[in-house]
Amino acid sequence: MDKVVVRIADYRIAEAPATLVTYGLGSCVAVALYDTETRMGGLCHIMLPSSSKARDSGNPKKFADICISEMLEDMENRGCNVDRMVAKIAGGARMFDLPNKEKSSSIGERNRDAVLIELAKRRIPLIAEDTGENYGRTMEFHLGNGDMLVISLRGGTKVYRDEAL
Amino acid sequence: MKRLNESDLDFLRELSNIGVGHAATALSQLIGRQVGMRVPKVSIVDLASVPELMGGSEKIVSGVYLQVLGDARGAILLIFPDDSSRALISLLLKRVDEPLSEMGASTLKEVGNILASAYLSVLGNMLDITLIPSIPSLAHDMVGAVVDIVLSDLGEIGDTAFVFETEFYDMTNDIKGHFFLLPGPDSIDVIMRAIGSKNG
Repeated sequence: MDKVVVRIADYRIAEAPATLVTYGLGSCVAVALYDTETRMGGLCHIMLPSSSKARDSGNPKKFADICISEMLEDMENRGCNVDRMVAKIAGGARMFDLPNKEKSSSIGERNRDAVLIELAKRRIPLIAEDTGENYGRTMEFHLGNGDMLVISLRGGTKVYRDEAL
Repeated sequence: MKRLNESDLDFLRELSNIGVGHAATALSQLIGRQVGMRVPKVSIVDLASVPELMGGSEKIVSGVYLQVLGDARGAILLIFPDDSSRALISLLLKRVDEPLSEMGASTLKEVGNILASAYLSVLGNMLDITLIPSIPSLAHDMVGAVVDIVLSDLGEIGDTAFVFETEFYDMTNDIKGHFFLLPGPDSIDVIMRAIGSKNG
């Protein structure tokens, strides 16, 4: 099977029957976008919520806002249409309990919230989500059937299937 | 951040060497075995490559994370490969800990605390600055997920991190660990100023 690995702060686009995979998500969030007609999908692995508050932008694909728009634009250039897209996301954990950071929400939660905002702006429905808690995840996105597999040390493998896809 | 020249780096490497030496001694007293360490690397690393350096994102590790508080800010992350953390626990608790129990987790946190405190007190004494470790916190999981916290902290500043890294091991070689010190954005300046005033 064709596996396309997505590195941290990056995205990849592929079409059925390939599988997109990203390993070891902690507070990072993986966002899969899927065009139900072309059966083409994109997967990105973001580290931080927003480029606006950063002191140094560096590789802009680490930010949810920039990475999602770049991936979307790339997908549309390859014939996808945002109106046919659905999204599945995973990650955004709180890996360490930090006593003096309790008051603020964790970076994982902020990443998740930023992703939801980006999806909502473009009216992309979020049809599956495995986020939060305090453990790491590996996410596979199967473009043949749109399945999202979330693999973790604690929870084993969970399959998020949508029969409509 | 001021650019560091080669002699600054040497000095930081030497400081780190002494700090980690004390930490290794503390660990050796704790486990009752001789503990060796490699000469610390002081390097600038590309954040995205850190999980690969540790043997691949999905490798299971125990990570102890402490924040550095006081005159300079930063973070310490200790990473033990899974088999090393279990060997360490069985040595200290005199029993096999499978799966990781509450007691095993506290043991690892305490080891992290001892190493970090030894290191920071040496660094602080030599530079006349106050460096205090926060309460340690533990994650036993895929290394990619464990290092995320540090990547995100540093990622707000840039794509590369200035990292002090060393590896320590006991003489029977079944316990290994990686020690990362990640200075916060302004900490290198604080440290270099302290070095400057020492050298008068």
